[in-house]
Amino acid sequence: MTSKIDHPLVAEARAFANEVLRPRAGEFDERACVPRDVLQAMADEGFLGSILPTEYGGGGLDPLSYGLLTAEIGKGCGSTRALLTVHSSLVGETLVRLGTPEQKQKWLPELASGRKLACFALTEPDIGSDATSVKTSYRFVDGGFVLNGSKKWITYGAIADLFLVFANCEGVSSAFLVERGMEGVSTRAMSGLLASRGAHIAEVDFLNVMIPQNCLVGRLGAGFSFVANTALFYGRYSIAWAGVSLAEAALEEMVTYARTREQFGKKLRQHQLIQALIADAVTGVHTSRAICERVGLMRNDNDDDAVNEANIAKYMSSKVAMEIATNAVQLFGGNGISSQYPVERLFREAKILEIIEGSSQIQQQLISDYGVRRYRLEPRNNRGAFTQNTLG
Amino acid sequence: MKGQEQEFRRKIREFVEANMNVDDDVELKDDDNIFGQGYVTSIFAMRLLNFTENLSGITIADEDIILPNFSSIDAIASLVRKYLGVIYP
Repeated sequence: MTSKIDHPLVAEARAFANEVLRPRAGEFDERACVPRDVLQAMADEGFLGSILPTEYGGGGLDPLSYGLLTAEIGKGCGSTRALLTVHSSLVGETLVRLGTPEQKQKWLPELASGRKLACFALTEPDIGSDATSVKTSYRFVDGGFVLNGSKKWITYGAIADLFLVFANCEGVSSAFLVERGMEGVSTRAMSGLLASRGAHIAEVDFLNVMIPQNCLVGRLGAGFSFVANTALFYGRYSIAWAGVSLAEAALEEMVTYARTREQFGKKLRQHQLIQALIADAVTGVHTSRAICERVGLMRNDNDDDAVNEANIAKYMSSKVAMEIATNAVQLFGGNGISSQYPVERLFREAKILEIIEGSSQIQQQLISDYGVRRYRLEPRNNRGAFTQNTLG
Repeated sequence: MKGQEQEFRRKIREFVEANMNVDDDVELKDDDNIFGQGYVTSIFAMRLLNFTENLSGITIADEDIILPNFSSIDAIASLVRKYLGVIYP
């Protein structure tokens, strides 16, 4: 499916995904590694810097086009798409929005070119959704800060050069740019994961790491309120599109299989219960794509409400992806549980989307709060007639 | 000028009130700390930043992107006044 407003980079991403990523996604998963040459190709093609401003060497894509590009890459390989989410969305876009002029000048050209890879270090061994309670700490010293603590489940943490790290000091949350080369930084690649196996997920330790003052992102105390929430908005937008891409990939596998596989003397696609699965999948793909495009347009217009709508898009598209991937495995029957067919991997990858960048349960809380505000009726007159609140 | 600031404050109030997770009988005062009172969570801070910039047409420098500058209608009006001298809604 294509959009009438496709940027040339989106078409290039589609070709790259079809030619380079999709044929090798199973291999990346099996070897638990998206190879460096593929990541470099992503950078050379301009995908890693696509959303970053042209003045820093980026592609200057509008958010909607960037979402479409993310979906194309995600259709090819979820573990490769994950780099876009952390490097370009969670760190790159956040630095554009909240970085100091010096930080932008130093890091954005490096990120746009792919000379440096960035990752987002918020989650910890004991802290997930309750992100304000991170135990990683910082203290003040002459010239900066000293950082101590551990992060876990950090996508691309095993190979990233730059970490956007969140830490607390007596309840004051702050964000820091930490370089791999700083003394006291160490990473350990994680294995035995359900999915995102190729995405270089790692534990990251900070042991008395000296952080210069100019590595503080935003001001002291802005760590969770502004920096993390801004980053997570960009991240949820990215994961929403990841859901669309995974759902479409699973649908394509379903349809292709249903058109060739025969049972009871006719093609699977001719069986009514299979048609129900395909119909639901098509409907899910179209609706989740539509809501993501809507959020993209809202972001293009700098519409403040895009934050709420991105939560809905992330919640919905990850749920749809899980449903379609589950049904794809079902449709494939015994073949569906074999790594010889992509649906087995897509099924595992879909579950991850319901957990990261705010679990489905966190999204439900946020969406409920939004709904309770937006859809209340207010007394209109003494006769008891009500009017809908339109403030949003 | 005074009328423009009143209009700015009205729009900020409307936005904050529309995003407060409170019962209908809560009345927002201009100096209420919306985070401290629990009217909104800190997740709302970045939306408030974006809304304030869109409404006023200014770009708020990173040194001013701190919670106290967005904690009340008075604080936001004061912040924007610092940039514009006067408030343009």
